[in-house]
Amino acid sequence: MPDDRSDSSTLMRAAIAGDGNAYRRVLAQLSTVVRGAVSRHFSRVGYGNEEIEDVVQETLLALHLKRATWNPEQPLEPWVYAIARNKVIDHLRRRGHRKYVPIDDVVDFLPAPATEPVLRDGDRQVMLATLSGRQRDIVSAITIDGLNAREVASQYGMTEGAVRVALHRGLKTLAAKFGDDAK
Amino acid sequence: MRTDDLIRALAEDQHVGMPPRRALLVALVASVAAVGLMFGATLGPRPDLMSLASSWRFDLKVVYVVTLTLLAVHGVMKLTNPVERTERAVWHLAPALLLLFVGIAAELWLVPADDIGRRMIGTNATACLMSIPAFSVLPLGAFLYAMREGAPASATGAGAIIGVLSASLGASFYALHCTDDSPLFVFLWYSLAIAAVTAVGALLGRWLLRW
Repeated sequence: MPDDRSDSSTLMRAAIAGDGNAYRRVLAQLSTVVRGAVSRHFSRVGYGNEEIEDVVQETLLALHLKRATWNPEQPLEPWVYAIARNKVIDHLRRRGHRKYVPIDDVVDFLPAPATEPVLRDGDRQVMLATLSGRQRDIVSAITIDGLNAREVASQYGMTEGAVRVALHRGLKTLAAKFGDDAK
Repeated sequence: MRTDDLIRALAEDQHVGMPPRRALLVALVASVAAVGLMFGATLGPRPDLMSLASSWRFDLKVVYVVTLTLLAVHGVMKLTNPVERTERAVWHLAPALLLLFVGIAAELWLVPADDIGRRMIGTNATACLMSIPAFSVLPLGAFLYAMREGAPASATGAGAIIGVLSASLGASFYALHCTDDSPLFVFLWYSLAIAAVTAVGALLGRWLLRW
């Protein structure tokens, strides 16, 4: 059982083995690491906090969906930086910075906490709106209303398993939507 | 949506997905079976296969394409992880090429100068250029599909190495049929066929392996 001093690699191993509490903690830790990495890439191009937070969320979504690609025998953070780097490049390509090559020396990225609660009704609501009916209901019930899978299940008269399947598909669709924007 | 809200949603989704290396292994087994059946049903091994064990040219040809296949499998498996660089996977193919170059050196040493051109051109060039890509189609599809579970640092690069893998797998079967065994022939025509499939793999990878 991971304790309070556990590093992110230990937490992630527990998370992949099914420990939801460890997973929440490692994602919270990683979000500050990712934010540090992304802001450092973007400070050189002069992007603002909102845009940075978009890429942070996109990176978290990618590392969630791709967590089976991490080799548990290796440290977690280089893998996290590699995912963040990919998302930064994607984002910059989308914005037309074709020649920009992000820095490789990721060793000294400083973790950065969120500067302010990022309450955005713009893009991300539009993103959620691209999901089909039931997926959108479920994803927004969990993200915006703060329910867990069991509560959503009883609200919609579904099984918890079906809610989790719909949530997984919804998150995959969201990630693919980001990618489509990149093309 | 606040990032904390997103994290809560991610933590509710416990579906981890198939490890990409396992997906690639499934694709490898399926590809060997499918290409093996295809090969048996169409070209088949050459009649004198059994008497060839003592021919160093034939042995070197087969060992080269099989080694290239195995090294490419290893490279593709590594590239599922975004911390791995495509260039490293390319360098991992070097031992197979070194083997071929040793064979070429031996051939140039042993064969009279006016015979070199004839051996390089061979008699099966067209069949080679058609058959290797034809045997690569199914593996290419299977490996690209499996690689969608991965997170390659470069989608184009991963597609290219998958192209090398698919073509060398196809060539491993075709080599049992082809009667041109000179390393010079292998160097010229097999490489052309493999390069064509590699280019297709890179293009498809760029399109299919973005994540």
